[in-house]
Amino acid sequence: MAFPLLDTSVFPTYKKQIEKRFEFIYFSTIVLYELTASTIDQSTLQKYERWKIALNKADRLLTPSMNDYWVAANAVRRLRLLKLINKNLAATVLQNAALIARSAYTRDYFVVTENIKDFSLLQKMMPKLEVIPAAEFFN
Amino acid sequence: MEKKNGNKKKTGENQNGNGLRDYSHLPRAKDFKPSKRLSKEMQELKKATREALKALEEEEKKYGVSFT
Repeated sequence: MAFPLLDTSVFPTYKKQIEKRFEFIYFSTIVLYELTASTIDQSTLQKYERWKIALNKADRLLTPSMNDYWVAANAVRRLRLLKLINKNLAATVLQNAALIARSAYTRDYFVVTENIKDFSLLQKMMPKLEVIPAAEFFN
Repeated sequence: MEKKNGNKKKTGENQNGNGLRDYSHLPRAKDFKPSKRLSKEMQELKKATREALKALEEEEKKYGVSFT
């Protein structure tokens, strides 16, 4: 059984669809981090905190382990060595996508994203990683 | 839920004749049918999800999208 793991890039366009299928959608704490870190209003932050608690209670949050960080870093390293990404880019380039990909890869989830380019790169290092564009998944 | 078209394909094989990636083996949102009765945890999640997404939408309107 495979379930969708959403990338942050999906949120601007697919809020209604996410709400409709909330039961079946999984989130990475990386996505929650990105949403929270970019929040401005205190009231939004409080709602995210309630959402975090509810997601955790419902077992819908995936948190990368120490080994996930290690494997994700090695995947990005190999992309650099193969010159598939510029070696002069910051070490954090692709970090969050790689962590989300690793979480999906090890747990038989598939990534739903608007950012196919980055995840396609990561698929070269994680051949069994499944990724689908948000438009394909939701429409 | 079973994946469409049987077993998972290797990613490298997910190309159709047009050179475009083939996603037909992956489920779509419509394949996940909402439950008629929700547990207490899922009711809480439904409410929290709705509120969080609404708050996000309001922030986008006020400040623009900044996380992607």
